Amino acid sequence: MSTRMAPRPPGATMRLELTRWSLLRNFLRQRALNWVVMTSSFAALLLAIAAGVLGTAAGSANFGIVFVWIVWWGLLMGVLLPLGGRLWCFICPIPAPGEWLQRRAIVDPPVNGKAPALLAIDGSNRSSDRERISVGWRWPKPLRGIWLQNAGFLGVALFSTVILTRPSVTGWVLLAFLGASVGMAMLFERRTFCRYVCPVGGFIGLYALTAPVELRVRDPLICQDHRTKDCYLGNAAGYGCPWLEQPWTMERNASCGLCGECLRTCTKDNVAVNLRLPGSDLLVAHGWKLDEAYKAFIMLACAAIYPVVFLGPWGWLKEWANLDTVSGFTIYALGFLLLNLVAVPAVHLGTAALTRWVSDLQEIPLRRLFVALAYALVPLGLAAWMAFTVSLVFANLSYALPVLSDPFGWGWDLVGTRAAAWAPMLTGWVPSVQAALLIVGLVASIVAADGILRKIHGGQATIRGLAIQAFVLTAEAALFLWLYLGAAA
Amino acid sequence: MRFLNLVTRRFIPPHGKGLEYAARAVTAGLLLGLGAAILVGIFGRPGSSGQAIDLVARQPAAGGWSRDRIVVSQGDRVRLRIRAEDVVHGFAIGRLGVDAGPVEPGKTVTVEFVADRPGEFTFYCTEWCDPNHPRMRGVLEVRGAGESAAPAGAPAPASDVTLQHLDDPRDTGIVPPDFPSAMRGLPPYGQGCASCHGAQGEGTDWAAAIGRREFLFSRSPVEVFRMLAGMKLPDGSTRVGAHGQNVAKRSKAATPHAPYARGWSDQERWDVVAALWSFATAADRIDLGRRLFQRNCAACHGEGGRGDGPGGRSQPKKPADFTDARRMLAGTGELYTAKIRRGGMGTGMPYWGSIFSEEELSALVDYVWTFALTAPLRN
Repeated sequence: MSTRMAPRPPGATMRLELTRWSLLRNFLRQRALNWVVMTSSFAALLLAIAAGVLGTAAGSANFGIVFVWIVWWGLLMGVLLPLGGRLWCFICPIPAPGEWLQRRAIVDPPVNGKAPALLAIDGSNRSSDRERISVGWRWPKPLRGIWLQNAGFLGVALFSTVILTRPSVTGWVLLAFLGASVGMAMLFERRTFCRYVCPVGGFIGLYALTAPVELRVRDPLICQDHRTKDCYLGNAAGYGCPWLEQPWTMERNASCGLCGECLRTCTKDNVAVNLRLPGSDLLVAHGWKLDEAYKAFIMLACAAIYPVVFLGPWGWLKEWANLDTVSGFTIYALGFLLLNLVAVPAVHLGTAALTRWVSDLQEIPLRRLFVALAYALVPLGLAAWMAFTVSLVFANLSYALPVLSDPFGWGWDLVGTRAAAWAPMLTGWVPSVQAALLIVGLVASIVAADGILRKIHGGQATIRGLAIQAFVLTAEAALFLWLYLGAAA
Repeated sequence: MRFLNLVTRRFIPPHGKGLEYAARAVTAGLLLGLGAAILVGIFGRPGSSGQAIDLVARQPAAGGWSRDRIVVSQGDRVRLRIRAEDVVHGFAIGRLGVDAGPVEPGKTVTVEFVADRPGEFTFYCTEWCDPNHPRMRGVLEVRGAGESAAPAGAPAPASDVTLQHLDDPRDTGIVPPDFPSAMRGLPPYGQGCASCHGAQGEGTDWAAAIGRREFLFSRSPVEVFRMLAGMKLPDGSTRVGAHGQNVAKRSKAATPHAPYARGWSDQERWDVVAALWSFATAADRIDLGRRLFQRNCAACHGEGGRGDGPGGRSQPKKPADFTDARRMLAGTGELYTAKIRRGGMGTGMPYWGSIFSEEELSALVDYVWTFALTAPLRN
């Protein structure tokens, strides 16, 4: 276990601690909070799976499609992720049953104040092996990081035209996620699935770097002197960090699921939830990793592919993506993978090399610059996804009303809204909102590029390097503007 | 018992407090409630009155109707719950006058009717849903009292189905200089014909009712034109058979009609022909025909009847172009009725005889004439 302490984050004075208000602090410490939230979402998940598998094949009338790909997606990309980072991971029902089984409890803290062995670092002095349900293995080191999540997301994204439009496929995919999370909870410690496997968790973690909310220790020095490390190991008040994070070293949002266990277990009252300047985590240099850089490329590429396939006028491409013919889909899949894994990274590599050359940064390894500057793509990528989500949600959210009454499309009218007609909302505003989002994303990306270059360059500005970055980012933003406001409008 | 003990020991918390038990109860309740709701949904909703028959509509490529035969008893109040799974479908039983209208994807439409006549009735999709949409059909079998097996089967074929010349090539050999106009045809008809045949072709004591369907049904427009032009008909005569018969009843020699049309241009003769065909129909029949055409035929034959509908592209033979006067005006109402009733026999056109009533067939043919002969009436 690393004993490195998190340095005081830069701009710490710009933080507003939300948990200094006792009302909020006490609320977040309630053990029942996670259960209420997760059980509610778990019920919705089960309904989505059941509706997907058993309900109507018409996506617009199926709870599984409407509530997962319109309501949930809109909530995630429009609100939760940009404002709350990994807030969805706090709500997400997929790890719920596995975690309940691991803990043998839904709400209760660990037995006699001791975490089950699988949650303990040492294993021996916490609870007896007799009580184990999960094997509690550690996730293999070579698989740590988000490469698996990248691959999983690519797989889901590649088949997204099928998954997003066919309720039964959505149902089975959700069921597979649930099964995988339970299975992994029985084999591996804590939320290994969430941290290393969940295809959604990967991009949420990346984009959570931009969030204006963070959970951090107040004073790392207090943790340094605190030997029992209850936030990691658990105590009578709660479980050790399910996300395998060590809060006293945490400087980024990437792997904090905001579950609040450390708020409960910290005996020094040294954990806080803060408001901060969005995007601070992008500049945390030791967090720059190749797997996350590739996640940024993949998300950027998919943000360009989705409007083309889903919203664009190119019917033949949609047919290819929709698996209408094997040959068509093969061409689409090759193009999709090439764009994600080769073309976008290649453009970025060229840009990084040019930046390195014009900025006299030859002493910096190209690989380091390549990885670091990928984080400048994160705000623009998030903005592009939000722009895509706006067009999707504004046009389709009204499907939620009839589906609430008739989740399976069987003719029910549970809450009297079955006959509610589809009515696109505020569609006249969509182009303006999309343009505004993309412009804000572009500016944020240029600011992030500047911060990253300064960080690499020992705090000095590199005007020429920034100009290269700004030019390429602007070109990418222009491409998105054309895709959303021109080609797909 | 051992398994139960194991489960109990593993999953019932010895340290459970009230909240934990409450949480487990609520979670279990949610699971059970959801399961129960699904079972209720699958095996029938409480409170539904009467026995509902579920019918799921899918594109023909995905299986079409979930049932291709529904059996009920005569006198039953039939309650059909129709659900579309993929695209907009429709449901109708033409010969029973049942029409559920369009059924949107994911929506359920319920239609109720009394099966008051025994027999087999074709139900069909009324919305263009797939290149094979016309084949999205099924049979409602209404069994009479005491019947246990399927009744005699399809209704007896109409006499016109036996017509031998149904698929013969047709060619007027003459093309109207301009689109025939019933409105333009009224003045010459009034001057040359009305005094004998009546102002609307309704006939008089001494002349046939040439503006009536019964008269025109087995005659082609080009036949009448030829008669007015003094041309020889295929049988060598210059008169119209039924007209001659009618006149013969009054012991008068059949009169060639060319003298009455002397001085008319070819266009005027065609206009008079159009006027005769327009006398034989009415606006409400044209309207019924138009609705039937747009719902069932336009996908292949095109809204303008030019045979250019998108559905026609996937058919083995290009759908007929009803605006092709050279071909169209050589046919008779009898012929077109038979073709619609029978279908295209390899051309891709489905048969409609088991769907349309005689009145609907007749209205549809009246509407089809408007593409080549009686267009003004459409306005």
